[in-house]
Amino acid sequence: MKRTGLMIIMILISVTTFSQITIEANYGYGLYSLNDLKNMNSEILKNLPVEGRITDDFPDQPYYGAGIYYQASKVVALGITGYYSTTGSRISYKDFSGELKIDNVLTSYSPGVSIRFKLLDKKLKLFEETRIAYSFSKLKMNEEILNTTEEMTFKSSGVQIEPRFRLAYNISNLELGLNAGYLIDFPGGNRLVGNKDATLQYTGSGDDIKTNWSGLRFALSVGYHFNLF
Amino acid sequence: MRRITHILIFLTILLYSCEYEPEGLYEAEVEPVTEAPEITVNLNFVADTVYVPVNGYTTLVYSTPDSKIRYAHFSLNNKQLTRIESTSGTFTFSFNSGQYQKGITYELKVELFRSTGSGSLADKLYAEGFIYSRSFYLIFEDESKMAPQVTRVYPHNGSLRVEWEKFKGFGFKKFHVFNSTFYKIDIISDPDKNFLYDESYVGYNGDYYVVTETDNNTFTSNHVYFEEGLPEATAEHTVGNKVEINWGQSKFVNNISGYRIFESYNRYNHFNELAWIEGGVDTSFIFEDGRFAVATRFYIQPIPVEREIPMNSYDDLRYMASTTEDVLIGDKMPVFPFDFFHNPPGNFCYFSNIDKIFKFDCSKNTIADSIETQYIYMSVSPDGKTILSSHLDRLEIIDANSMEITNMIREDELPEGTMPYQFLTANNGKGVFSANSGNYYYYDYNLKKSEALFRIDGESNIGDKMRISPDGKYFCIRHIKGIYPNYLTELYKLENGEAVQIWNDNEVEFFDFDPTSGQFVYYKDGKIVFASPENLSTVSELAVNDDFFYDIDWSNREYICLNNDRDLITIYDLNTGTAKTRVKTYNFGGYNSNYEDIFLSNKIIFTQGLKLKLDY
Repeated sequence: MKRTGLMIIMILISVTTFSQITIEANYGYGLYSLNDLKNMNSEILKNLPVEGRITDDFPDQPYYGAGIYYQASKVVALGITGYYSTTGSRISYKDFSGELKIDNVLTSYSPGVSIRFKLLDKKLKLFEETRIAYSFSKLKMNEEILNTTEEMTFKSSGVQIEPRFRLAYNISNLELGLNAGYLIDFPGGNRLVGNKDATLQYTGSGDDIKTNWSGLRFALSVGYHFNLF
Repeated sequence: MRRITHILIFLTILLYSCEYEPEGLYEAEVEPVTEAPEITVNLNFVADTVYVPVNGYTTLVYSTPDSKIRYAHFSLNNKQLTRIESTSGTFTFSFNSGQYQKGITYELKVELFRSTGSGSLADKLYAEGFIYSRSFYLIFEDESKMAPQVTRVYPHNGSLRVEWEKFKGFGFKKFHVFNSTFYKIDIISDPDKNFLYDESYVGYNGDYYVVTETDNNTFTSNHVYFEEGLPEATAEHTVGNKVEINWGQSKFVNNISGYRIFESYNRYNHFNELAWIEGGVDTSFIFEDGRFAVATRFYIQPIPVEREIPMNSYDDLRYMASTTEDVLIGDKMPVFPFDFFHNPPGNFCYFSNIDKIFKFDCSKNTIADSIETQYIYMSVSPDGKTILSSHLDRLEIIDANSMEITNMIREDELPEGTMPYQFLTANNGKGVFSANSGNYYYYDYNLKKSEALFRIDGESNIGDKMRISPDGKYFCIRHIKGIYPNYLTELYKLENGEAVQIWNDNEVEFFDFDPTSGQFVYYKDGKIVFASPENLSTVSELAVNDDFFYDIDWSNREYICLNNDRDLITIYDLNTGTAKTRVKTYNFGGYNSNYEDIFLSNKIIFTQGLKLKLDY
């Protein structure tokens, strides 16, 4: 608590000093590892009564984010960020007698804090930014076999660290940015909603199946600077 | 600041509404199966109407080798009993039959679900398949009525077929088919097979019943007795010592591995196995070694292919074998009894009964001629040319060739005016006779003149063996001397008008004169001795192996003997002593035997009432 209080004081001191806030929106493209979930699909496929196919297997997808940054000094900016990612998979089989479809929809919301360092302050600015977030992932599994449907939801969480570099160009108060980084995910296990004791595991080993969002990130950003004083 | 907050909230909601939507469809090419295939179903019951014992649990088993059968559904009167899933194809459940009413028909419906085998998703998930349905009717009965009954036992296809009802209950395991409690014929596992052929049955001992074994119980049928009996058998003496044995064709010919043939002399309770005939087809057997003068019956015992019953004693043959009547090995004599028999050299022999003398043609094995007489005693000259016979008041001299009377001597012409008791004639018309007084006379029948009077040294009886030499000079007789059975054999010589005893012996039984050489021949101490009657010097000897010496056939110069066991007659060459042929017999001349003498003439054996022509 002492540390949190000290940080808030430091921020207030900073606000009173520079009085600039930047609101920023990000649209990016994430390359997701999600290796456990892909393995899970392979296992499911093996155990199907019919020879199905994985038609969609957690592909790399765009992600979205937003943040509010406070320019604490000429070099350092502190921010609060929130990111949203989603991807999914499908196992499919269909013949004259009916259809089998196993859909997995994975979403993640990761609020966090960020610290940004200005490395080059020319017309084109270069930043290094490190974002620390806590991700909340949700995996919805939907099985449709012939006329029966079954749906389960698992939730997991984990700490994410994403270091990245950013090139920015200002046009008046508007700032356009180009970002590239790598997200390191430390995921937890997936727990069944409604029964916290049930987790998603590999059948053979009993190891937890984790939602690992690690991977490269590329993003475009648009920010707007507000001068408070 | 508020505006910023609103923007952020809006963005968050917007983002969360943009969930990923998985894509893709894989369509497999699978052909549907629309024709329901035939399936094979094995039940633990065989009939459409099934009887169930009202006591206890009943287990119903429904199985199929079809691997695509997934489950079976059983219902009784439309109420589900059970639904059983199985991948092994076997569906078993038990129900307590005690809760159902006797005599009422219940409908048992059995449904099988079989996947189509198309390989489709629905097929794999048992959501696609064919339903096979079949209904049966259950009738609950007391246990005592559950047993399949033996319905028929009858000869069929050369065997004995036993039929019984099919089992109409559940849980059939085996039929155990019995013939009496001692012999289980077979164990049958096929519930549809309700018959068998008893390959052990050959005509007797048929007591059939069936025990049905089920999963939980056994049920015993009624007993059916079947006695066909054995075929009739006959035996007939043909030629020589051959006997033809015939018996009827058995109805169980395929059950018979062969026949054991036995001979038996019931008079002596003696049995002997003669032959083994392979197979059951034959209906006759030629026995070539019949026992002369023995009443023989034959037993033909069929031996079954299966389960030969051991014969504990020959008495068992009386119900295990077809039996012939007694057959006497030998031809009946055309006349019987005969008392006196003569076999001089030549083709003919002679014998008499109470009123005739018969001339027997040995080559034709039949009587050639006869002439009337009134007295059983008779004599034939050693050369076979003359017969001397007797009437009440005369002796008649008969030409043996023509069987005509050539001369006669009246009673009053004889020395004592009475008829002779026993008499002999030599080749020259002379001879010897005994009178009622016990006197013996050398007598010339042609001149009707006595040549010598003498008495023997002992008793004189009818039947005393007497022989005369061809020239009429020597006379030999065996008679009782002293206390029976002491015998004395005496040899007399006519010398200077007197009968002189020149030799005697109390051990000699057989004696004769060689009709050719005139030598005195007798049997003693295992030897035949040929001696000169003049001085009784031994001319030759011949060892005889057998104990009982019976007769000499001068025509073929053979003699005939019986062994010590009295079961083998042998004919030997008189010159060399070698055996020429043998004929089996049994207890001949022994205790309780009907036969006493053996005569041999031209390869024909004669005894009391029987003859046997041999071929050697």
